Parts: sequence; C-alpha cells; structure tokens
Amino acid sequence: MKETIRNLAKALRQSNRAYECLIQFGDQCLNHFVPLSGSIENPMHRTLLDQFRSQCSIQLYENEKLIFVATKLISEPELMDRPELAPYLAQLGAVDSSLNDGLYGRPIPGFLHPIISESVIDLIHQSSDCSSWEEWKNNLNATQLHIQQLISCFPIQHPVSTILVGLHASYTSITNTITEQEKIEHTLNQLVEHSAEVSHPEHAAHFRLYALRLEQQRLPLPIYLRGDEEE
Amino acid sequence: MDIDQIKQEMTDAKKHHLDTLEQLGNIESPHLDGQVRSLQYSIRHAILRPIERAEYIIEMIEQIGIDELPTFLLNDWMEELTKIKNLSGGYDNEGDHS
Repeated sequence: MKETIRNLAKALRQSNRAYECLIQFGDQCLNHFVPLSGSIENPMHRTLLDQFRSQCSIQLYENEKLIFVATKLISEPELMDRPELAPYLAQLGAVDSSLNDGLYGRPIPGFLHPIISESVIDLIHQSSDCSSWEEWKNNLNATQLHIQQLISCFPIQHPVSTILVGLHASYTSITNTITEQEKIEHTLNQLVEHSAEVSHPEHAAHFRLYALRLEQQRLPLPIYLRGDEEE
Repeated sequence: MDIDQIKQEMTDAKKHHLDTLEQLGNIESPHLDGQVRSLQYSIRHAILRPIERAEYIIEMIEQIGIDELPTFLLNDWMEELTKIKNLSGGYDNEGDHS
C-alpha cells in the first residue's frame, strides 16, 4: 500500500511540474497577447486565455491537495486506518485507477498521466522578443504548434482540452491578420518604389492613392515591453 | 483570369488606337479640327491611359506575386483588369484598318 502511494506521489509531482509549465505557457501567451491587443482586436482570445490559465490554476490546486495527502500518508502510514481519511484515500484510489487506465484514462482533477506530463514539460519553451511582423508570426506559429501538440496530450474529457482547441483557432485568426499585414507592407514598399518609375503623372497619382489606402490598412507593430503584465 | 491573354489583348488594342491617333493626326481639314481633337482626347484619356495603368498593374502583380498581394488590393486590381479586358477585347483582327 505504501509503495502504491509512493508511486502515486511521484506521478502527482510530475503532474505538478506539467501544470506549472502550462501556467508558465499561459503567461507567455499573455505576454504575446498584451502587446498584440494594441494592434489586433481579438476579445475571444483573451477570454480563452484567461479560461486556460484559470483552469490550469484549478488543476494545480487540486494536484497540490492530492500531493499533500499522499505525502502525509507516506510519512505517517498509521493515518490510513483513520476513518476521517477515507475520502482522501478514495481520491488517491481514483488517481491510481486513472494511472492504471493508461495514457488517456479517466479524468481526475489535478492529475495527468506521467507520459503526458513529460510531453507537456518537453513542449513548453521560452518565448522571445519580436521586432517585426515576421518575427511575431514565427513566434505565434511556434506557440500555435505547441498548442496543437498539447491538444493531442489531453483527452477530450479534460477541461483544458476544448480551451486549447479554441486558443488554436484564435491564434489562426491572429496569424491570418499578421500575414495580411506582411503582404500590405511588402506591397506598399513595391508600390512606392514603382510609383517613382511611373512616367505619366496621372498614373503616379493613381498609384499614390493605392499606396495611401494600403497605408490606412497598416496596423501598428506591437511593442513587447518587459513589464507587460496582466491588466 | 488569364493575364497573358489580357496582355495580348491590350497590346492589340493599344496598337490599334495608336494607329488611329496617327491617322487622325494626318487629317488636315480646318472644319474637322475640333472633332479630331475631341476624338484624340477621348482615345488618349478613355482608352490609352487605362490600358497603360493596367500594364503597370500587371507589372506589379507579376513583380509582387498574386499570392503576396493584400486581399482588398487584389480584388480592386482584378476588377480594374476585368474592365480593361472588356475595353480592349476584340482588336486582334483590327491590325490593318487603313
């Protein structure tokens, strides 16, 4: 029995690290979003992100409760015979069942299968600063890829799963806007360059109008500030 | 939209209208002078200028790449090229109209 609880505690600690990584990932996404929100409006993205971070915190809280019970039982095994600890033992029993179910076993709040936890920890990376639309796009694409990989880590029953799918869709919408911005910048440069070569003034004026329209469609480049924090 | 076809049609139409302008320039008749000038102005501003503009647009599309153009601009330019296609179509057999 003691050995089983020891194994459970180990698995729970790994889940704990995975949830902490997910919270860190949520913070990274927020660090992307805060400067981006000054340029690209996407209220759903913020909602999904907050939901994701909130869900990760709830899961981490549940996880810490389970770790506390497991640690307490390891250090004081005589507590197992106390009737008031029966509900906590039942919770650990559920974790044990989920562990035995395999990768996508029954969903237990605060617990992730060790293999999934390991994948999650490996996936999360440090974000970098961006000084052009191209860098923003590359960074967001990398984040989106991580979200895509995270989606495959979570069974559909897990509360984080659907939020991740929503976040993925939201990132697609943002990267589409950025792609359009890249096109506008590129075309604008070409048009300005080209209008200098246009011989007839009537045509030059016509192309300047297009350049003005492109200029109006430009969004300010998000500025990444070190101090950006949740509002 | 077949850009090469439009380019060919524009070349044919341009040649036709430049020939017409040349012929109009050769008319030496004081009582037709006003009509000739009006016709020359119409050809230059209503036909040749839009064709030249379309040539620039095609040049830009080819230079930038159709997939790299912002959506709204591509739609605008395609509309402009459609107008030019209608304006410059049917001149392929009009080379010798003397």
